[in-house]
Amino acid sequence: MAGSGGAHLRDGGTDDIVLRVADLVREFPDGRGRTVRAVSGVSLDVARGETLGIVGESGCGKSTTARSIMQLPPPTSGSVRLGDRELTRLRGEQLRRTRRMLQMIFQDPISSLNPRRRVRDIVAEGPRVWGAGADRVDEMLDAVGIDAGAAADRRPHEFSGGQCQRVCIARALVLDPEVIICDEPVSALDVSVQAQILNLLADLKARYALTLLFIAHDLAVVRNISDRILVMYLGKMCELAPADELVRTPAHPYTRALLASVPGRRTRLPPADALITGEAPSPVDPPAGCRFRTRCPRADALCAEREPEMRPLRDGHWIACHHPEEAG
Amino acid sequence: MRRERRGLGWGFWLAVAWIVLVVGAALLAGVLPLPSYKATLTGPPQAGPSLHHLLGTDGLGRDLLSRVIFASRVSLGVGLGAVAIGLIAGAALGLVAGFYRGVSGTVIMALGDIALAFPALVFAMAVVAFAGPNVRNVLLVLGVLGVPAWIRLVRGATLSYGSREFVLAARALGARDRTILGREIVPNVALPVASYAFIAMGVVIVAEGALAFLGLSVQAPTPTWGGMINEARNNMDTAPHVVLAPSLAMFLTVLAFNLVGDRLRERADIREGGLEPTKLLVTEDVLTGTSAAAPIRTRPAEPPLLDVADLKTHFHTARGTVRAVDGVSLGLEHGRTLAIVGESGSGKTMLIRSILGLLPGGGVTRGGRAYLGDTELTALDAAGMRGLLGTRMAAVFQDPTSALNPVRTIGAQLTEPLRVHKRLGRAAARDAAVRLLASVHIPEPRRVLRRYPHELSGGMRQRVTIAMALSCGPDLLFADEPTTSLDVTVQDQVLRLLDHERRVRDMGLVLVSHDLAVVADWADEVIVMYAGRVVERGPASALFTSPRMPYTEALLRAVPDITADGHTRLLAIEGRPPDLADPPPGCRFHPRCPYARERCAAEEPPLVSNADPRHTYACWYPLDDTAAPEDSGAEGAVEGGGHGR
Repeated sequence: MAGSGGAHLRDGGTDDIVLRVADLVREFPDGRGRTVRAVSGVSLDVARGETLGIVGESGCGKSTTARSIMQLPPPTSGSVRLGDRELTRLRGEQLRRTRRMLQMIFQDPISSLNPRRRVRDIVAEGPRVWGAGADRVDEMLDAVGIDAGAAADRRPHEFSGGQCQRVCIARALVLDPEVIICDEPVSALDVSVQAQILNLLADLKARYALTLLFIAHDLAVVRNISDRILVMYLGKMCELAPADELVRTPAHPYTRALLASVPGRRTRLPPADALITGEAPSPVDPPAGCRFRTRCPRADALCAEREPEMRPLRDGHWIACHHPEEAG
Repeated sequence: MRRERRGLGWGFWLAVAWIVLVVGAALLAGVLPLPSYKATLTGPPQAGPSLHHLLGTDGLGRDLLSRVIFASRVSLGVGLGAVAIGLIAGAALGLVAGFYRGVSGTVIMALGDIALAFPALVFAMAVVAFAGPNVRNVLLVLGVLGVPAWIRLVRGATLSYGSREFVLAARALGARDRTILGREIVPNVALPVASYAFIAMGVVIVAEGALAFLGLSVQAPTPTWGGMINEARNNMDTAPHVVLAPSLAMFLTVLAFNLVGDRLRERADIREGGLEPTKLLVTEDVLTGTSAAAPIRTRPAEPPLLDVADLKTHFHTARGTVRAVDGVSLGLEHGRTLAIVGESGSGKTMLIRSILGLLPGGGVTRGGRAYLGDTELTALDAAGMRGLLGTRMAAVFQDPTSALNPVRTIGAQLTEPLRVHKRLGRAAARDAAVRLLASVHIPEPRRVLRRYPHELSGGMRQRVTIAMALSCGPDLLFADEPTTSLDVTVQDQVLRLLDHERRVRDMGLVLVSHDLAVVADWADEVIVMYAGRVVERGPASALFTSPRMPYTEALLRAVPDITADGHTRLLAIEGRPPDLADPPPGCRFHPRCPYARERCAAEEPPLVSNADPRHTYACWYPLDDTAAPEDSGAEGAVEGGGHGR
């Protein structure tokens, strides 16, 4: 990567592309007169029924990408197409009507629920706004494993973190959205609860043919649930590949470093170049050329000079790097 | 409901009773059998309390009780009116400023800031003196003066709730702005607003009293509390009760409003966590005799670095006794790493807090013994523990942000223990701090010494807290979830660092984590805790490759395996750890255990071993009972072979 470009976007001829994001840029002032370049030219697409994982360290812009797709708030530039509608051009009432086709699940399940409202009312809010689908409320609570009777008169603080996350999932499902964006939905949970939620998402995906954009910093989690994975670094894309291929034959030095950091089973993974050290630079003043070059063991003069663009490595495997691991 | 009332306290209800009494008397003043407040010489002037005049009479022989009650009409009326003006104008403007922000928000806040810079009471006096002293003018001016503070309060609360995820979720559902305001924001802002309304009542009553004292409120013959105090102050030495009656009425009323407001504000901070708060009732800190009942072991001539025997930590709460740690024994040698693993609520954090003597103040009973070398930690008082903490034992916690003081530089915080414990001079401590920061791989350590914690990233902050923990060369380091809040790449670096320091310092390291996979790479021995007890312990490799206790297996298989095929179903343990105030009988894991049989619910399994005496487990029906224990010789090195994967 740490590159840009949109060559990896599919044309939609064979796949039924639901969400297509092209050259997304999100910048905001840091309050001291400088510009934070949180997302700098990210392109991705998600086909119907597919789960696209986005992985990267904190500060890589993955959550900002999610919120920009939701138009909460809209991106600085770039295109977000949901079906045949361009979201970035919609305003007011039109945006409100279209946005409900996208739903979101957040990292902190407790902060995601209004502490003053009853759990069932929280899930019923979507149907109440749109005057439809109220019959789905109990079905959705049941689908996520929450007893609708108990939810009727209890408030979020009476539930555990895992149960609250189930409520958030029910709320996201109830309007039957086109795409659900999961922003670190399990990273605040214990491993045992994390497994419950991941299994639940897999079950719901099979039952309701969900299309997911799944964001997390834990590569093992993303790999478990995703069909394809996009690796991000400092607001840019590094590598995009089917999940199995990304783990078995990672080509980008950053992906290889991320894999090497996964605890527990490193002996069975392909060897990394060298463990990356240090931390990502500030998105206020990102390195020129490839943004990963300051931590990359393979960086040379070319990397400082020219930013790598996404290019195909193999079928369905895309990479933005001047010196990728070619063997596979 | 009854519990909530008890939570408010009797002071709150006394205050409410007083407010009800005052408001009731003010409302019913016309129909109460009271002498007229303006009829003079209804009795002898300045007479003390009597049957006819319950509070006595004033200098003109007017009934004091009647005058105090009628005066409360003015105070309460002005108070209510002014609070209503502030609330309506301030809440509307505050909601707009907090919810929409933008230009309108900036303008509103700028005007509010300018208004707050006016000397309010002087301004009020000037306006009332100019416009005429009557109820309407006093009410208007005090109401308008209160608006900026209202804007501030409502805007602040709106801002904080407006950025919460549930508001984003409502937008994603397609809710309109007015729906979001009405359903998501206003109900949350309402309680702080109600609380402030009571406090503002008190403020306005005092302000009205001050104006009335200066003769700038309602004019005679209508009595006001401030006016009555003013009239009677000249005769204070002969008839103090004439001053005391209105003073006391005003004092108690203001106090009552403030008290109710404060209590409501406390209620506004409602619990948002999933667990009941453990409110401690009993305040005692005794070592119970449980350790005496346990067999007294003969301690070896060369004691281990850390030796814990049958440690118990019980909290006495309103829900009963919470057995956070219930009979844990462990040992650790120099240069070795012990990992303690379990879900949240398994008691692992309380175990190390108990060893470190860092338990909350009251309602705790600790039993059993813990030794650091020859020192019995469980016999030391607070001062004795302080002498050991930082020097022989140190700890690193999950959240580096809260472990560092935000207003002091890294240098000040890092050199302090060196100067206190090691008695180094300023320059020497500074050099030592630079070396410490360099040793935990912080680039440009001299510059970092001048930085504040917020200027560093999470990973850097955790390195600083590790450097602080290592500063006095401890023999034993506790790391409680040291990497849980960090990124995977940084997590790896931090664990690598801790391991390196353990090796070069020949230090004992206790790693606490909820993720067995994270610590298995770095530990020699692993202890798995469940519901306050040890359920399995053994060499890391043995636990990782052939766990015996189903709970250990569940913890391992709950973590997604990156080398497994995609979409592999995870083994999730349904349910949650039990309430430690009421653990299930028998094996505490049996309600969640897929292999549980009748015996598991009836009898609690002891810790036993099979082939390898170092590998013990508490389970009646252990996994893999027939298989030969594999890889029992190699310690530390973890092979990737999975059990039952």
